[in-house]
Amino acid sequence: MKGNPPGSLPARIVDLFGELRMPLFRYLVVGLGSAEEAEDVTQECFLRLCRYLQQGGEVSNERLWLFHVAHNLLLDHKKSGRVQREVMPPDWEVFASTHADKTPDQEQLLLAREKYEGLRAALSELTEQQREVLRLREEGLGYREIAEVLSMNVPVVAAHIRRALAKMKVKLHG
Amino acid sequence: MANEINSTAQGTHFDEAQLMMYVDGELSAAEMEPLKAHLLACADCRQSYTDIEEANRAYREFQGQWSATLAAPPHQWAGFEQKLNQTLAEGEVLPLPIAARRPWGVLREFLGATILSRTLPRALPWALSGVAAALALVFLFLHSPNQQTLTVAQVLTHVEQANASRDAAVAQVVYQKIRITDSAAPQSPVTVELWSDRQHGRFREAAVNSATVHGTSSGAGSTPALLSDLNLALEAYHLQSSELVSVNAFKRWEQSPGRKDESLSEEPLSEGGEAYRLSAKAVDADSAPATPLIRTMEVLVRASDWHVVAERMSVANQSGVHSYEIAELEYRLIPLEHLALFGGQPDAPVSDANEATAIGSSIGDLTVDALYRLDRVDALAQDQIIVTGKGGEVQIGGTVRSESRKAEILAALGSLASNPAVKLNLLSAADAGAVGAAPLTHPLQVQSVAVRLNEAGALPELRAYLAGHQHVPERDLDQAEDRFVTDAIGHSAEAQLHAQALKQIVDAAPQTDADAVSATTREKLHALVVRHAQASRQEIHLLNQQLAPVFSPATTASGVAESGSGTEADQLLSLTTDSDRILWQVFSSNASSADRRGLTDARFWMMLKEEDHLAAHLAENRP
Repeated sequence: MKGNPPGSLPARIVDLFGELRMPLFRYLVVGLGSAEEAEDVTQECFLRLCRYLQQGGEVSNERLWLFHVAHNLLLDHKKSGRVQREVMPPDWEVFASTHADKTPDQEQLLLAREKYEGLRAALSELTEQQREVLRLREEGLGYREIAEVLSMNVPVVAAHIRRALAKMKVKLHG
Repeated sequence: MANEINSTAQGTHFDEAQLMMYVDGELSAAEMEPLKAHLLACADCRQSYTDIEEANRAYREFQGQWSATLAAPPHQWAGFEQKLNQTLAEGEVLPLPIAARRPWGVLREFLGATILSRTLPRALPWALSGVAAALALVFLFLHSPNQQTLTVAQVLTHVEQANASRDAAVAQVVYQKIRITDSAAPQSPVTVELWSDRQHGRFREAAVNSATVHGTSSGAGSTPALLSDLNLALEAYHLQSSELVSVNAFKRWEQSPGRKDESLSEEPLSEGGEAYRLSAKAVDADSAPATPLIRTMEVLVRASDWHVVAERMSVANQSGVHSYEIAELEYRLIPLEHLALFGGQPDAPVSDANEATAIGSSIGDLTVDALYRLDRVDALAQDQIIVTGKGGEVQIGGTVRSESRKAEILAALGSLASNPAVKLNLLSAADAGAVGAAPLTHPLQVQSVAVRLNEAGALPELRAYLAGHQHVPERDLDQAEDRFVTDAIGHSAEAQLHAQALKQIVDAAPQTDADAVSATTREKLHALVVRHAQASRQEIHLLNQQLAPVFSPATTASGVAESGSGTEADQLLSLTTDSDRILWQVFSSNASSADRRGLTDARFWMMLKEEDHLAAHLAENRP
C-alpha cells in the first residue's frame, strides 16, 4: 500500500504482512490442507490484527499475536468441518510441488523423498499437536511462544518436542 | 544412560529434555554453563546431545526444503489491500468503547505475577487465558464488533456449544457426583450421584452419604432436609437436580421473572487453569418470600473446555437466606450400552433396597409395584401416567407437566426404572410439544383456576345464599361467589381424579390368576384401591355438603343414576365425569339458563349419591 505515512496503522500492517505472511501461510497450509483456504485465513489474521489495533488494543509481539490467531482460526475451521485435512509429512513435497513457482526437478524430488523416508515415517507417527509444535519451532518460535500460541504450558511443549525427537532419533538410526 | 540423573566423576548427567532445551537455546546462561562443562567430560551425554542435534538437523532440512519449494499462494495475496482498506474504513465508523479493553486488563493484572509478564507484558492476556479466551476473542471479532468484552451470554453460548458437541457423540449417560454444602450446616455436606440419560429423558439420583454429622443430625443438617429444601427452590423454576452444576439452571433462573444483574469475572481454579465466574443476582427481591426463591446464582466455568465445575446459589425463604455450595466431584460419560438398561450400574446404590422388586418377579407384581410407587408421589391421580402390564413387560408412560415432575416420578420408581421388564416412556409437556405428541388432554387441570362469572350475577340462588346465610356483605359477594365456585369445582375434579386412578389400578391389576402375584402385591393393591376410593368418596362428600344447602331440590332425590357398565371403578369414573360436566356447565359464564338448572335437577343429586355408594363399596371390598 503506497502513500501510507510511516508509523501509521496501515503502514504497520502492510509491513507486517510483507514480513510474516509466508511463515503464517506455511503454518496454516499444512493444517488446513488447502492453499486457497490458507491464503484466505492468513489475510484474515492480519485484518484482525488491524481491527484490534484500530480499536485500541495493544500488541507488543505481533508475530506471536498473529500465530495465536492463526491457530485459533485453524481450530475454528476444524470444528466447522471446513478443513480438508492436515497435510501429512509424506505428502509435503508433493503438496509443495503443486504449489511451486517452477516445476521442480523430478529427480531431486525423488532424492529428497528417499532421504527423508525414515523421518517422514517418524513424523507420521506423531500426534497432530506434536507436529504443530515442531512446525512452529521451525518458524523460529521459542518454547514459550509456542506455548502461548497453542495455549499450553511450556513443559508440555518441551515434552512434545522431546517425544518427537526421540521418535526421529530411532528412525534415523534405523 | 544419559537420561538417568546420577552423579559420576564427570558430575551430574543431564536428561534428554535439558539437552534438547540446550540445543534449542532455551536454557539460561546460568543453566548452560554446567551443562557445557559436563558435555566436554561425559561421553554418554555427548552422544545424546549429538543424537538430538542430528534429529533436529534432519527435521530442519526437511521442513526447510519444503518451505523453499512452497511458493506464494494461488492468488498471490490478491485482494489484501482492498480488504485492509475496507477494514480500516469500517473501524472508523465503529469506534471502540473504552470499557472494552477492561477485561484484558483484569486478566493481565491477575496474571501479572507470573514469570511471563516480564517477557511479554502485553501479549500476556493472550498467553495464559488459554484457548478459551482466545476463541472468545475470535468469536467477538466475528460476531459482535460493537461489543468487545466477553459477556455472560457469550460464555453461556460457549458452554452450550461445548455441550452440544459432546452430546453429539454416542448415546451416553452423564454421570455426575456432586457435593452440596448448606451454609447453615457446613460440617455435613451431602454427596449425590446423578445419572442422566438425556437421550431418553431418564434420570436417577442417589444420595451417597450425608458425611459425618457431628452431634445429633437434626433439622438443616440432615440429607433429606437439605435436598428437599433445595429441590423446593429448584422446582419453582422448573429445574431438577440433574441440572445442578450446569448452565441450564443458570439460564433458566436468569430468564425467570424479575430483574437480574449479571456479571462475569475470571479467577484461577484450585486444580490449575482459569475459570469464568458467571454471577447473577435478583434485584429488589423480596428477602423473605412465602415459597423458597433463588436470589443469587453463580456458576464457575472452566476456561479450558467450557465445563461447569461448581455452582453456588442462595435461596431465600421465610426463615432467611440459605446458601448452597455445589461442587462437581466427578464427571463421566458412560456409553449407554455399558449400563444394563440404565441404572444397572453395578455400583449404583439402590436407595430403597428393601422395597425393590426382584428382577424375577411376575409382571403382575411389577405392575402393582409400579402403581404403588407412582402413587406415593400421587402420579396416578395427578399425572397422566398409564401403567399397563402385558406381553411380558410393564409399560409406564404418559405426559407430565414439567421436567422436575418427571424427575420426581423417576425417583419414585427407583430401581424399578432399571428393571429390564419395565419400559418407560415419560414425556414432559415440553418434550411432548417438541415431538408433536398430544398435549395434556386431561380435562381436569382446574385445581386453582378461578372461574369467571358473567356480569349478570349468574347464580342468583348462590348470591342469595351467600348474602342470606353466610352474611357476606354486598361488596364482597363477587369474591365470595368466585371462591365458592372454585372450591366446588376443585372437589369435583379431585373426586374425578381419584376415580381415574382407581380405574387405572383396577384395570392394571392382575385380574384372574391370583397365584401369580405375591401376598405383598395383593396387600399393596388393596391399599391402593382403598386409598383412592376413600379419597374420591371424601371429595364427593365435600362437594355434596357444599352444594346441598344452596341447590338441593325440594324433593329428596330417589331412584338410581345411570352409571353405565363395567367395573365399579369404571362406573365411578363415568359418574364423576358426568357430574363434573354438569358443574362446569352451571358455573361457566356463558351458560344458558337451561344449563343453570343442572344443579337443582334431581339427576345431579342422584349421581352424587351413587358415586358415594360406589366409592364406599370399593373402599370396603378387596378387589
